[in-house]
Amino acid sequence: MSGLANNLSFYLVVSAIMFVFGIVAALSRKNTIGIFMGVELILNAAALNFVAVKLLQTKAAASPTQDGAIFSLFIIVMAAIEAAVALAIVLRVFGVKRSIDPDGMARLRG
Amino acid sequence: MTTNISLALLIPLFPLLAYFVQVFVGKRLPRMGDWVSLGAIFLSFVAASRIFLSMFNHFDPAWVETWHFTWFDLASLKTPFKLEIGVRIDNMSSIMLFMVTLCSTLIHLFSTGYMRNHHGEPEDGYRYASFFAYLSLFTSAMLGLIISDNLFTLFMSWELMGLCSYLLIGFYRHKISAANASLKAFMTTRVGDMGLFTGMLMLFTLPLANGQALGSFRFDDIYAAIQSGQFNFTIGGFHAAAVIGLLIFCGTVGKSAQFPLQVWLPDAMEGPTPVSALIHAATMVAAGVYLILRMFPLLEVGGVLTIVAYVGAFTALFAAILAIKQNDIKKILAYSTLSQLGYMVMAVGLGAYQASFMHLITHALFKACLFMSSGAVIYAMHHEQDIRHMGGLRKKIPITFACMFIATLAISGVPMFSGFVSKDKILVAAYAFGILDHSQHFFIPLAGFLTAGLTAFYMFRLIFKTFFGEPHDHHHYEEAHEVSFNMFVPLVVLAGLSLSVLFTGSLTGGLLGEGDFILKGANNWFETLVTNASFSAGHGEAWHEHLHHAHMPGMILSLVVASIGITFSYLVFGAKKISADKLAALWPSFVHKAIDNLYFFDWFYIKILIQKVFMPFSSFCAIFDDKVIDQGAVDGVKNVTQATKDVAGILIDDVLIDGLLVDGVGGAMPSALGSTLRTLQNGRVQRYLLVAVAALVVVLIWRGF
Amino acid sequence: MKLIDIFTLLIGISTVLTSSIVAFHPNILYAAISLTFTLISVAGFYVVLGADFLAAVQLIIYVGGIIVVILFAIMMSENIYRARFLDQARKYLAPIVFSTAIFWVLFKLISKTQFSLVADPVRVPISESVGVALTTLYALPFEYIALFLLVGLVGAVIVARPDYKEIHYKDEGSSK
Repeated sequence: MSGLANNLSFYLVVSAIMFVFGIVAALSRKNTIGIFMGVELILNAAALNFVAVKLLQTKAAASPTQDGAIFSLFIIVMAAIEAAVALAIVLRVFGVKRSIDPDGMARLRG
Repeated sequence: MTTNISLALLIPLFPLLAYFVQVFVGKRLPRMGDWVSLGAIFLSFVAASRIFLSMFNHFDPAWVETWHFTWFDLASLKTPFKLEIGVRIDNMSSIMLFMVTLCSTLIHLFSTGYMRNHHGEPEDGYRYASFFAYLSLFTSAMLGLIISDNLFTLFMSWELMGLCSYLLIGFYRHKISAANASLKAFMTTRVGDMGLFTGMLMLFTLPLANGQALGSFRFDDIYAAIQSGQFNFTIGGFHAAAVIGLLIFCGTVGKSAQFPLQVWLPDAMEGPTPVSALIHAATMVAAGVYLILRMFPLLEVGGVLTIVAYVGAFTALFAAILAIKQNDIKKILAYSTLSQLGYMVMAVGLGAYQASFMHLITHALFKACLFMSSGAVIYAMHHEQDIRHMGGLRKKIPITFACMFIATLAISGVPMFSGFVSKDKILVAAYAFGILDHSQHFFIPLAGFLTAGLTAFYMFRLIFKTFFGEPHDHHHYEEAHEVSFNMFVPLVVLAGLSLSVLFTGSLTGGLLGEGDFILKGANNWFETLVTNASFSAGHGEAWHEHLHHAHMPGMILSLVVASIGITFSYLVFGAKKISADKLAALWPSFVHKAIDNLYFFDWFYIKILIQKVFMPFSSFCAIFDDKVIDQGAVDGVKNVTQATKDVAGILIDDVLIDGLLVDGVGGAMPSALGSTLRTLQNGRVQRYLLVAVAALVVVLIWRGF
Repeated sequence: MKLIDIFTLLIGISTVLTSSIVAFHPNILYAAISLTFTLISVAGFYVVLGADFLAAVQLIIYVGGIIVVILFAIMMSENIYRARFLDQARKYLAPIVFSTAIFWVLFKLISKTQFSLVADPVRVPISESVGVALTTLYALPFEYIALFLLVGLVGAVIVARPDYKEIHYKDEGSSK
């Protein structure tokens, strides 16, 4: 095995850790913005995987286009959209309820 | 890149920069930055003059300078897509550039007076700056359109102009009528633009006779393909060039307000008068004619010139009839614009593109003069536009009167003035085509000559009612005074440019034969330069032959018709020998009704086309959406779900839980199960997420190992 | 171990540490600032992986844009001088159980899989090839994501603005 920088498993494990921390944050925060930050972590973990696999995995590296980077780019754009919409919702909800506790937003209960 | 090309690139750039300056910092500049726009367009004018002089130095009908670059090139796609854009300077575009920058400079100058009130303060607060910003953008778009060597950038500028016309026509946004007019102008021209865009795309992508798509928007490539006969195939039984040509002509019909999309142009009078001058003289409506002049070979190959000629002739005649009964000074000019645009389109249809282009230029100059004169009258009369309230103004505002009178002589086709020369050429072409060549098309020359007479009639009616006779509104009359210098200088310049000698090199426009040219070597420079050798015959050799024979009778007839119109107008409105009311009573009431209702076009579009066709269609779509998609698909799924739930409810709840567990097992377990399950449906997003993650864990463990 | 490996290891440690702070720190502001460093670390990973363009984009959009927006939202939606700014809920049990399970499964998957690795990966600047790909092969997704962004932004504006009726436009017409 060559160095750590060329070890795909290392990136995948780090990304898995990020993913898991993202899930923990999204599940346990008592604050909508905290949930949102957890989702950002999850998205970043996925984007990191794309880039790492593109560089290091044989089949992916053989592709002539930079697919990994492009999908990560799309993920970043999507995260930007998500940031805009989610924070607009947060501000709106805060304006109405004076609180952004996700448990307070339970009007849609079945 | 030659000097002329760099200059041509600078020409639209100056007003564009001025636009950005005006939009962002305009209202903080001294005088709200009107000098920025004016200076920018003046710089463009200087550059355009340089190109114009360079054209004279060459003095070659075939002179053309082009420059283009590849904007983007998607060569790695399965169907390569390459877009080249550039600049094309030839005789036509240099004349056009000169005219547009000149008119626009004068209109900017005029606006610095017109858009301020009588104390010299901007009328609309800081929107004075926006007005100049829009004017600059409008001019920039038009100049960009002229220098384009391809349909793509032409279309971009074209749409930009549509936007600016919307902004400017609706400039007095506190008036509902202005807001509606701007919307109407925007929407109506959009109908035509659809055709233009479709035509462009067909031109670009359709496989031609050699099996290859043209893949270029550049005029040079289009001309080359036409000349090598690449368009000689059919689309659905029609000649390809005819289909594409007519689609592109749709753009002209919208932008140059031809029948049947002419409805927006009279309403566009709701904008400030300098805007009317800009739209109706130099820019927007001229763009449509310029487009078909550029696309003339395509129309010619397709054999649709006769259709174009009929559209133009219809528009010319019917707009002229409408103009007679108008009382709003700007409306009269609007209908005369329509009518003159009909002339230009008709001339293209007759194959006399030189005459059409010449009329485009001469008309732009004298119509700008007429509009700005009317603006000066309106300004002097404190925004009174009804000519029935005017009268006797020639003593109060002599300079405006003189300029407007000269421009009226020009538009009426009086010898020595520019309108005579260009209109005469069109009428001669119509005479040759409709009487000598194809007698079944007699309507075209008939409409042409009738329109000439009517034009003289209603334009002199305007003059007599406004400047002669007794004042009808003494209050306004007493207050009227001559406008300041920045408003009358443009009038004087444009009136000076309405002389025919500038266009033909002869005082009388060649009326007395070849002998009276005063500028030897520049005889008929205009026609010599604009004639494009690569554009072939038009309506064939016979027509060209007839053109020579038609010259004398056509000219005499047009002179006779114009003098009849002027004399009649004098008798009715000047000397009042014939009562106007009695004259009106001669016509049956349905004629009046038709004219008063603008031939029911607005009624037809709104009541029939929109309310009876489009609205039902869109409500049908809405019903389809509601009934079929929502109720059928979405609600259907819901119903299935609900039914499943009901069945499951009966089975699981009643039978399994109630029957077995409650009755069977007892109280403790069901309540524990119920409270656990209830927590799943508590409306808390994190709990839902948790369930999803739990499901993910289950799936991963189940599938992963 | 070469320099790049040490660098990678440091970035990995930093990523893990900062993302754990994002997940567990009770103070939402600290968590947000920590998220900044996580994102910077990910940008570092991109550098290590030779995706120079993406690293720049990550820094500009995420660190420069999204984090600022998050901080804004925190400032605007919570009174930072009050205790509720802290995240007091300690309901970590179920999330940690499930997350550990997921991590365990993922780790097993990663360690079991035999990746066919590139022996000597080439790290060349990718900006040009990304640009070319975006305008050729990925032109349509690119347009689509642009449209998506537009729609999202318009939606965000509509959601965030106060009720339409509350806005009274002043007549800015005449200064006469």
